[in-house]
Amino acid sequence: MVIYLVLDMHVHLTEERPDAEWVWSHWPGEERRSQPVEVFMEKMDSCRPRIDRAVVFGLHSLASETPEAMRRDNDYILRVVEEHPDRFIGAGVVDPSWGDAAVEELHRFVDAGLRVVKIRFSSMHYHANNKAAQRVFREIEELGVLPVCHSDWTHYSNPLILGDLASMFPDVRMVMQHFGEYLSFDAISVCRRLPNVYVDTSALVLPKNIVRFMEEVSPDRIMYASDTLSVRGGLQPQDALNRVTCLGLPKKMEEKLLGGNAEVLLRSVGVKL
Amino acid sequence: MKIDVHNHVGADPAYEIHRSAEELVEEMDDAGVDRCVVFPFTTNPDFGGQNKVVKEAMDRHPDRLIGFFTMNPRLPEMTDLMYGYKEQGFKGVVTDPRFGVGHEAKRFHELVECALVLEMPVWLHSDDKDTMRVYIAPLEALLSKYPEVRFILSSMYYDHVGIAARHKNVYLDTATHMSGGMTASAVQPVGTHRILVGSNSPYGMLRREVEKIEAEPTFTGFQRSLMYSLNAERLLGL
Repeated sequence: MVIYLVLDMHVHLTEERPDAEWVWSHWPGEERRSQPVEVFMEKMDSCRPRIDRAVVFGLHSLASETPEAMRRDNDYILRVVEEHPDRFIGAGVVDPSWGDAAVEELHRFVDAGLRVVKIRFSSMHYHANNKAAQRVFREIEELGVLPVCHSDWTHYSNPLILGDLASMFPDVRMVMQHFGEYLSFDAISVCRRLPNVYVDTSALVLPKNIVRFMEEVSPDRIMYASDTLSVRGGLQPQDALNRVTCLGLPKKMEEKLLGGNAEVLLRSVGVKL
Repeated sequence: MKIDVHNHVGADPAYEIHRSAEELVEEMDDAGVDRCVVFPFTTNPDFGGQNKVVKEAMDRHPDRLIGFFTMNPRLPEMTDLMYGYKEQGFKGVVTDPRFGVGHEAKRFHELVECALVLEMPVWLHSDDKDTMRVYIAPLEALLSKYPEVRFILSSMYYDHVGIAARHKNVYLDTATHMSGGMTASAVQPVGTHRILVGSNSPYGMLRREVEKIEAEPTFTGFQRSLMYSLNAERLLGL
């Protein structure tokens, strides 16, 4: 039986909307990529070990067609956190391609109480070390909030280019989500050099690299995460938990990985847990 | 006559680049290029504002610049906007995978259907050479589904030569070809009649694009004429 905190660092939530609002964008019969809060809470409770808390953010505005789309996603997260303060830590989505509007939105949701910022550079096809990204990171540094950034194998957001961004802001702690996906060896190399970079385990292809990270980089900078974004299929929290628990880590290490490290990091940016 | 079909004006917020129509025209004069197709930087999500920049550029240089507008299929008012841009004198529509709508999506197909009705070519622009490979199947399904629509496929697309060889409604630009020899290798499977000179300026250079075509010894004079102007004139009804 698990008695310590289990915290999922990476969950997408989306508002349930009537069919009439989706009909223009979806083929008949097509399943939408969405997950309202009620559905994910059921999953949290049914997982073994049970997931106590989760960091949640929007999905559809990662590259947003209008600044309003970004605000709409973030407003939903603000409502979720207000209704379930004991289960969810909210993160606001920022699409840096909107320039002034992106910075304005960042300030708006931080003023409203969110302390975590989600950015997915490959959605907007922006290289993570570009000028627009640096501008948003300067604001993030000033506000003292935590950026959580998608990583993958593309030239927009691979571990090396995210590492370049992190190296420009050594006082900002950044989470490299997905551990680089297929490029987890690159992620390890970046994290070895940069003490301000953390990783989450969502979508990690080679689970044994969790052990490698804990041994060669640090046992304190890696966190369990699922990247759940839909009701069914794709990435789901129990499968993501299994990816971690199958490693048979010593209890102390598993405790850090499943929630302890996340708790320390989130508290350091002012999240009340 | 030389026409370069791939040029951006306006603001690129990713790299803080600002390029005016006048800077482009000056580069055209230096490179001996007569006309250019221009459209916004697809890194800029402010479609309305950036399409307006292109419209003003077209109005200031009607004999030199041919405008395409960018469109995000996620905008609910997409088809109304497309009709409006057609009335303003734009010659084609540009879309890009970075807008977050896959080639299989209902909205993407609706954009293509609207372009068909408006008799506009669809520019499938991309700056993403590495990851496009995973999207080839839905892209080819789209190209097959609408044989009446003329697509310009950015040479950034993975296997763009193979795709153009299989789909006769596809034109290619030369922007990512590292040499005239690479363009020449596309001529046999695709045909010179569907290759357009495009520099991707200001990232690329108009002068360099002309030099690539000039320096390739295997091109005949007629093949060069096709790529420089005859194909673009036929495609755009100039």
